[in-house]
Amino acid sequence: MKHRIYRFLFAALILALLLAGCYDRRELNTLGFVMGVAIDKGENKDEIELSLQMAKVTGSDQSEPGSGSKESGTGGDSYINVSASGESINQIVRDMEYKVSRRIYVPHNQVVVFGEDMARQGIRDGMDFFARAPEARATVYVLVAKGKAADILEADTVFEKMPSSDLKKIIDEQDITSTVPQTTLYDIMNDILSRSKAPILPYIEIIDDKGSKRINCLGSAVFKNDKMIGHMDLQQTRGTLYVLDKVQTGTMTVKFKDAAAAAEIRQSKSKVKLSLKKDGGVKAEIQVRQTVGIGDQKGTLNIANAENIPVLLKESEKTVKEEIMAAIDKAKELGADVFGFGKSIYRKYPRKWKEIEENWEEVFREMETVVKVKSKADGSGRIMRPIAPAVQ
Amino acid sequence: MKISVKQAGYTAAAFIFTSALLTKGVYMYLRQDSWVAVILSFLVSLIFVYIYATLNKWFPSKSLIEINEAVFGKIIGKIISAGYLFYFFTLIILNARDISGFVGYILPTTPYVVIMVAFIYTCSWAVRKGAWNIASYGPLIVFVSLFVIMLNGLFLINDIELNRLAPAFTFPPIKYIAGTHLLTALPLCEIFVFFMFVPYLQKADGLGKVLFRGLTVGAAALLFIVIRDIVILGDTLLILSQPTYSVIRLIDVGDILTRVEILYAGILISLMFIKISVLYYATITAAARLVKTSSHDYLIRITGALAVIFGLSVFSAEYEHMDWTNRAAPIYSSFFIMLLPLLTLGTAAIRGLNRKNK
Amino acid sequence: MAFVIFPVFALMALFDFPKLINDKRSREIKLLSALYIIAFALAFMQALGMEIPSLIKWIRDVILDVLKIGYSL
Repeated sequence: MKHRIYRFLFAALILALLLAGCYDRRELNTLGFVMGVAIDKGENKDEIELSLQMAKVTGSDQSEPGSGSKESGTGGDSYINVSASGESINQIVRDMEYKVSRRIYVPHNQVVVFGEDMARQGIRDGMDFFARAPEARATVYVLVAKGKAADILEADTVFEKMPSSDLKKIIDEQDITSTVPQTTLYDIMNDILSRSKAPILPYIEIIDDKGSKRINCLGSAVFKNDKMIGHMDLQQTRGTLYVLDKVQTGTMTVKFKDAAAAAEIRQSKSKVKLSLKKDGGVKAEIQVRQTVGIGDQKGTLNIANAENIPVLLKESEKTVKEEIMAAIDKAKELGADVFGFGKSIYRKYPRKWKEIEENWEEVFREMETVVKVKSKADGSGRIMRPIAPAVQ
Repeated sequence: MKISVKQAGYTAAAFIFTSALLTKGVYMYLRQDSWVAVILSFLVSLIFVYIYATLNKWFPSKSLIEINEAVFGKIIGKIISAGYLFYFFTLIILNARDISGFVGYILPTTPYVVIMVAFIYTCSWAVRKGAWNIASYGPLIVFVSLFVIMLNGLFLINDIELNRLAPAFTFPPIKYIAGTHLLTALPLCEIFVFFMFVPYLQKADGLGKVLFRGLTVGAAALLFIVIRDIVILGDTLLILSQPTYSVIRLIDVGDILTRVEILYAGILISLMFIKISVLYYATITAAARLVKTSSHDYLIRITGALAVIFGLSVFSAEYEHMDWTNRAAPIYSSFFIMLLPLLTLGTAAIRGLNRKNK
Repeated sequence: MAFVIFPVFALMALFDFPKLINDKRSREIKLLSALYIIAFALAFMQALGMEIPSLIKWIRDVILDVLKIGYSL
């Protein structure tokens, strides 16, 4: 019937007007895509200095990676760094709009770097904005920089168009060394809320590599709640990651009679077994099972034979055990439960946890730990012996 | 056209899905044991479904309004029916506020008016088409939603830590009771509303089957979602304002499959559309039957207007919303969907109305 | 902004009432008119910025303050 058609058209019109109009629409070219954030302690008390690295998305893609026409040292062709100070991040971001012609848009942010000063003061306030804002993502990497975080955003770019992309990809690739944690905001939130686990963040710095500023990883920064209390070097960090079962691949040097080899970790899995001791303490047994192969070797001694492989495995087991013990010692020295033992005790022995929750730091320091490592052999690569004529 | 048991059943399941995707206060009592509350409330809801089914069997093809009149007499029956009418209407405005809040979370500057008018207008269109049309969307949306929910769960397999469910059963029993009460009154037994659809069912006494199917599918999905939330979010469950949405936002498969939450938003809106349409339809038919008019079409527009008007003024702040949901809502709901039906059943039995009418 | 209310309600009434008047259903006309007047008044008040009473707040007050049967552990 005619009536129906009119009604239908009317409804379609109303809905088209209401739904497509969309108050919150934003055109692409009005957005300033924030790709990296640096948070430092401000000059005045209680102030935060915020630096945002925003991508310059031009119509024609003329910029090559790293081509920095450094105009006043705040960026290159494809990015720009903007800084401002204030009391809260939300306020600073809004104040930045006085200087920036685009709407500051956070969802594509890849990294949040805290300067060490700020980290020691506490990262909770800085994180609040990123946890609360509906636009922000909880999967951003959060790191600590030795020195000022804003310097990280000024590093010279390597492969990517801007330092924060470089940084993000560096962290992404760390599963090849397993010496730097790949911590996201979501991980930190979980750790702080658990009241016992100490978060660890990647610890980076800027070094002078033949005249250009490059990002370098130093290990991890250890936190207590939200304040940084110390750091672990690369080997200690790997020890921690072993306990957390986060090691994927890596290398270690193993010395042999008159040869040396780089043992490559192909796979690694670890389990932690907790038990309560009769005297009220806690004991943790850490078992690591890994597959080790030869990365490369020095010398002419053929390590890849039945006689020498067991030695290699034994040495690698020793090295791993040392790394883990070093990590445990450092953690106990800092009084930080980076391994999540507290959480595991809560899960396995909830009643016991209620008793020791208050003194967890002491109980942690006095925990007994037993480390057992078992290595299995994997292939030796494409060659079966070193490049040397066979010993007759 | 008459609605088949299957269609109505899946529409009822869609009802529960909607609440399942908007879980919020659920976790505050039992945290990692919330899944226990889901199972317990499923069992408790079965009891109530049995009560509703029995009422339906005693008064086949009669909607709630007529049953009240038959059991309580004209005057008291009308008063009770008016109460139900009020209850259904408040459900409309609360759900309209929920979906506006959700859309407002994603698009913060859009005024609520716009969202609500667009939504209610679309629902009024569905209501005009009739009960069968609404119910026929049920199965489609349920299956799509199930698929999306499973898919999202699959993408998050890497982030699952099963030991987040431990330790289990460490809370005082009163919390389990409270959690079960909350889940039974709010998501699970709201399907009581389908009593208004009874006159349009193919099987005049098939309400029991309908509700059973809806409850089972819905509770299964709720369980899946709750477990998934606990296992992935861990301790952050308590501070997130929209846990299920935040879980979906974490999906990051190989840096390519991100921002999948748009699927979740789409599903939620479709489900909410069904829920509000059902409630809308129930309100209008209840009103029409109450004043004994033969048709209900004339009430559609005005109810829509009233829904928008009251929906906008429901809560002035988010904390009021939480306060209502956690403290008053379970009591309010329980009165209408647990206490009154029980009373109705009891009175009917005493008055001997359970003998099949000639 | 408030005068958007007038055309919206007029339009709605235009669609609803003619059919009822033609069929001479006085019950429905009386009921609908009452509802329209209430809705119009409330919508107008809302558009002018005045806060209209929220049903849920009433219920909440009854449940929590009067009957005191709300709970939260």
